[in-house]
Amino acid sequence: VRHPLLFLLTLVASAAAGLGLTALAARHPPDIAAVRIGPWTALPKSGTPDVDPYRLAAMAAGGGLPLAAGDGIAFVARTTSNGQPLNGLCPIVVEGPVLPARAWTLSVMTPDGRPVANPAGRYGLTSTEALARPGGGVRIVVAPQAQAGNWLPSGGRQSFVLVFSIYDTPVAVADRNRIALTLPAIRASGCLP
Amino acid sequence: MKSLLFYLAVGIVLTGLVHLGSLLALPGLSSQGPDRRLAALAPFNTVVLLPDPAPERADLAFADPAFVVAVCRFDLTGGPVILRFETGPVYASVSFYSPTGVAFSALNDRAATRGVIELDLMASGQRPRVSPDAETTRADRLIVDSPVTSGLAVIRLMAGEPSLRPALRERLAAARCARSAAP
Repeated sequence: VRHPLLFLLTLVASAAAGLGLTALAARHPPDIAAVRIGPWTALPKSGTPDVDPYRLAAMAAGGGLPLAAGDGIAFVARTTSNGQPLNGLCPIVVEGPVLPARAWTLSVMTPDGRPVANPAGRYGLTSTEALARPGGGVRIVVAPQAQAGNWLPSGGRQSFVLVFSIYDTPVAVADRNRIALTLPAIRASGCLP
Repeated sequence: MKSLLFYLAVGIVLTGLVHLGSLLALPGLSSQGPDRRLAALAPFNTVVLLPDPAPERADLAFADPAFVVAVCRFDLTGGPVILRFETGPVYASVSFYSPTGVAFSALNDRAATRGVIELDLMASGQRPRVSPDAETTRADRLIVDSPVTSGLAVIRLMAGEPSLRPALRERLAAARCARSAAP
């Protein structure tokens, strides 16, 4: 080695950078082999033995268990259909058709996957509870205050994610030749004064 | 200048190697992984109901709050484990994971017989050589082959409405997960 000090520095810097990258990836794992439908993202591989190492690292860092492929599939939305961040101070409308499935749930969660605190103590809405929209599909309003129709409290939280979980669906979500996979659109509908 | 570039290249390769190595090692080392988290709540081969979801706690991040969840940390080293629970009229499922969270199997209530799911969880090599007679008498029995000797079975019943919760919790509390008697 011609420059022992430089060599040592390289070793230390590489070790630190490598571990730093791993820590970062475990907290914010990249979405590998993701299926995107509008603002919704699902990782169909995460509930199978083919789960990627980044997802496993995220689980090791407290990221919870994915839905197994034979059980259901979870779609996560972090923005509206227009790409605006979800803001719990504004009413947000989730409206449109749902994939054919035996059951579904829509939940409001913190970005790290915990239920969002709200005075009503309601953390999600299920296909059993939801009132059908004339003409099919659903219309759900996520807002801090109670709303007519299907209401899901956002707790007035500045940032949250929506999780649409679909159980026992005949649709192969990971199928590349999928036709017309549809999930409701998400839009902000005005803000509180 | 030349040696500086050389060390830069070495540094990039080493960073990649350290990143890959630590990424692959993390699930085995972490104390926050799914099995380690649940180990505090659940001994082996026992069904433990998880608390209802609440904002200040989540034993499993991103768990659907509409479900009543019970967990059995299974250990197959002493032989197969029997898992039994009532599904009832609601959507119900059981999913199997390795300790690090790799899902290897799942069943839902379509597999239930008369509203009950009863299955034998077996490690590879534990499957008995059953005679055709035995097969017919145990026709209702489901067998799940496990690629791991210990892991997690997660039983979930969907509470379509919050008012269903107490009854579903009671039903899941009666679920069984135990080493099966000698065949």
